[in-house]
Amino acid sequence: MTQDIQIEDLNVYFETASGPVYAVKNLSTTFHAGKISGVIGESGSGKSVMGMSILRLLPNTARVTGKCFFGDQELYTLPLRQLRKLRGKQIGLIPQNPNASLDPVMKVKRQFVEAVTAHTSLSRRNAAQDAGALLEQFGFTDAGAILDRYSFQMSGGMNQRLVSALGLINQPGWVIADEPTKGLDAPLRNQVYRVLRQIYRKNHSSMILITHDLLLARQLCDDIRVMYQGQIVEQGDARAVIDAPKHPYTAGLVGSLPSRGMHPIPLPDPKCEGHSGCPFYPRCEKATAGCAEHPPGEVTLPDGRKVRCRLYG
Amino acid sequence: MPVVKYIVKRLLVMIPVLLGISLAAFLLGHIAPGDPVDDALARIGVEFPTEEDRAEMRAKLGLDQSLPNQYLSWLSRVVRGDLGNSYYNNKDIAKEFRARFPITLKLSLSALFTAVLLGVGGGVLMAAFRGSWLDKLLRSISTLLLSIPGFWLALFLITVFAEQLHWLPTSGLDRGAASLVLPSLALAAANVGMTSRLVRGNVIAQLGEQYILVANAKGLPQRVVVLGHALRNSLVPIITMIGNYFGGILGGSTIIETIFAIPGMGSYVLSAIQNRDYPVIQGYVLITGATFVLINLAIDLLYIAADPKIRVGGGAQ
Ligand SMILES: Nc1ncnc2c1ncn2[C@@H]1O[C@H](COP(=O)(O)OP(=O)(O)OP(=O)(O)O)[C@@H](O)[C@H]1O
Ligand SMILES: [Mg+2]
Repeated sequence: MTQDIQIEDLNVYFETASGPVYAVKNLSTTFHAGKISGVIGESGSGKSVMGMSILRLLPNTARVTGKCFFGDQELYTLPLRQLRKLRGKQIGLIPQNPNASLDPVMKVKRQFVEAVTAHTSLSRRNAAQDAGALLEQFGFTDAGAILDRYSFQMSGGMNQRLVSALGLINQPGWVIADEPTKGLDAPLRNQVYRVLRQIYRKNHSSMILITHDLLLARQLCDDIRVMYQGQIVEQGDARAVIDAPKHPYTAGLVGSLPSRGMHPIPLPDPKCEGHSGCPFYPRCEKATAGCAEHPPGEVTLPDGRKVRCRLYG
Repeated sequence: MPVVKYIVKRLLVMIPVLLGISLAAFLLGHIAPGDPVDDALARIGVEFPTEEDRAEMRAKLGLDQSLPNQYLSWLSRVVRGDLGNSYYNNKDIAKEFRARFPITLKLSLSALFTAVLLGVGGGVLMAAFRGSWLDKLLRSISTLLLSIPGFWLALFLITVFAEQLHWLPTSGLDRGAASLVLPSLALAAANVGMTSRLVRGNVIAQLGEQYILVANAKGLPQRVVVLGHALRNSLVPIITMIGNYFGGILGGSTIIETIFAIPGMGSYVLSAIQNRDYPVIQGYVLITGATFVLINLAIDLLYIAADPKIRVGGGAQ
């Protein structure tokens, strides 16, 4: 059976011309096998960097420290050769940015076939048949013709569904899905989620779902992590987190939903610059003087929820 | 059919280029110093021609016609394979080129092949092992190849591999493929340096693309990711560059042929330049120009294989 993915004290920064850019800070979390784990947060909060770090797919300017256990294997130090066996086979990826995710000079069919034959002894023809069947589940009525095309011959929505299918082609026990419905209209979005859920049930798979869509995360996920500036500020049961947020940032995200009155989170207060406390302090409506002084630790509440905020201790 | 349209377009583009080359070759004969009528008379032994002798010769050479008419009649002769006779030894120039052209073509193509093989191979290795000692070593070698002149390298190669080690012949063509190794290397050296740098840069750029991340996420081995995806996507600029280099190789072969005593077009035209043998130079300009154009046509056809957008027409449907 599949195992948990357990990240311990992950830190990631990028070396850039203008100095290091921190993307993830002191992040620890466990993604439970057999569950759908949600990750939400604003753009730039480090969701994708955290997700990509699991498969070690970050660009080589990234500096990663920490540990990531997958069963008894530690992924950040696993020899690359072994990691490659695991990629796509045990942990599949549905990446962001689908239009750039397919090789522009290779037919879609070959990109599916090589994903299969890298891990099994299946013939090319059978692999292509598998791909066709999966594409039909994703709502392509003419899968054979689609497989014969190049990505530039397809719309963004088609590429999004193709890339989703590509991540699932080997029926991996784990799927990291990074905004798999971005840019899709409502019917297609529902179709993708239907398939994801179907596959999740059928294969007893586990999923890390990175999304901006709070309501969808509440509906689909078992638990949720809320990220702010590279840290997880709140994690807990999906419904509990969205329905009764504890962290002021989570409350702000929920409050900015159209259905909750669309109150945006205030921009950082310029008076609060240059502090060494809570990263959310300059935007926080509940901030007290102490918030600017020390970064808050993670507090575990009685219901098991974890919050990084001085309001709770 | 996008492919047919593409090919027809390439063929049509060739026509004005070929005409331009022929015009350049034709005018070369006209800007040559000295009076061609006097020269021609001198060659048949008339040292002190009368006005009648000159008028007769002028008509015989067709020089009494207008310039466009001269060009047209020259062109029609050239197209029929008549390049005239050498001023120097009065031999049939076309016949001479027919014997020498295959030799130069063989040398140039084998140099091109060497440049592609070593340049692409080295470039891919550097990209795949970027930052490693191998990358650094190959990069220094490529800088070295770029900065040493071809003739120096030729002499160096002869000294080491022919005179010291006796592995390969010093000159001539009598040992078949072995005779071509050193000249090809000397001719290709600078291009190996350029190609490997360009390939390295292009492959590294591709390796940073999102589709490479996805290829890695599928669990493909590194070999497949680098060769099957990154290099495959770098082919268009690589092919373009190789086409451009062919001109340099063709021109560079004159010196290399002379050093290695290879009886190709290069050594022929070099002595023609010394003797002001204009018809020979004209023929050389024509033949190398046309060869360059044809090779570039072949390379344009390679794009069809490298770039699916040409095959299926670009854009979403
Ligand atoms: N290659 C990189 N070089 C430098 N900085 C980077 C790089 N990739 C990401 N970052 C930085 O890391 C931070 C986190 O980025 P990340 O892509 O994880 O955000 P995200 O939460 O996924 O956002 P989105 O919702 O827009 O996808 C951002 O501040 C970003 O600028
Ligand atoms: Mg992201």
